[in-house]
Amino acid sequence: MKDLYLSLTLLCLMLGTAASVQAQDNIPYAGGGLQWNWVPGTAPNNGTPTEYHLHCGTVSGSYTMPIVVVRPVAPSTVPPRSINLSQFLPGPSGIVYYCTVTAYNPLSVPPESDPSNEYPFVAVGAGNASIAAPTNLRGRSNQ
Amino acid sequence: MRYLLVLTFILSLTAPANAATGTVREILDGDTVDISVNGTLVRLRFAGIGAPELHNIVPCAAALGLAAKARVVQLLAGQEIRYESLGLDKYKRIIAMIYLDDVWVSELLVREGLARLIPAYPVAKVDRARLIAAEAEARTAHRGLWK
Repeated sequence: MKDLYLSLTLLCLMLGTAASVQAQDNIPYAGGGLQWNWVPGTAPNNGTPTEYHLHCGTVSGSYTMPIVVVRPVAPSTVPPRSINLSQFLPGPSGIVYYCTVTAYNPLSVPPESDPSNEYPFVAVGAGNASIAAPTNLRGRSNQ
Repeated sequence: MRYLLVLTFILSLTAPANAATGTVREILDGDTVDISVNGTLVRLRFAGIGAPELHNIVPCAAALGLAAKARVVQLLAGQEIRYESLGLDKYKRIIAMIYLDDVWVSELLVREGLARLIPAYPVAKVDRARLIAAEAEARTAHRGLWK
């Protein structure tokens, strides 16, 4: 059992086709994707997340929507992670979702890292954005 | 053609975990989809969960069934998915762990209150625990079925 510490660097890209989305403002987050990377810390703080949690809400700082659990087959070996938000965040036209990402390992104490910075996911005008690293997933793990 | 179908079906049952992918062609309800695997249609039943029936005599239950189906359409229609077969049910559907972008769809639907854990389509113990936690979260938040 080793102490586990994760240092994650996240890179968030909104992969929308901005021109077409802007022209159709009734289609929120069309083509929008969320993508992130992670970088492990150095030993002994080089544990591995088993999954990532996407926390979102319609009010900044209040993530009341159901968590989206992203559980990659190989969580640490094939970055970047990505999901298509147009599938996972249903909602009426024009709504803005505020999202963060955390790293998670059920064997860690606590199991969840600090959140990344918050990113407002808007329906139109999607462009590139960066999201900082969630940190401080400490604990014990045999992974 | 029949042999190809049978061969594909057998391969889908014996393929190693995480090896199978397909494209969703039709959503039948909140827990059953048809996918295309190398040109052959395969019917998948979501493992571990049950969504409300579309033709329920109780109107609110039928409405929830429609909501569950609509959510699955929104999630999966036309999408490339990854699935792991857990066997067959009595209707000869493949009981499958279905993933979209590495998100387990059964868990997502339960967490959103659009389906619930049922024992008829068992999953591994660790996955069952995940569904139990997701259902508890949906109940606490009074989502969907738990309003």
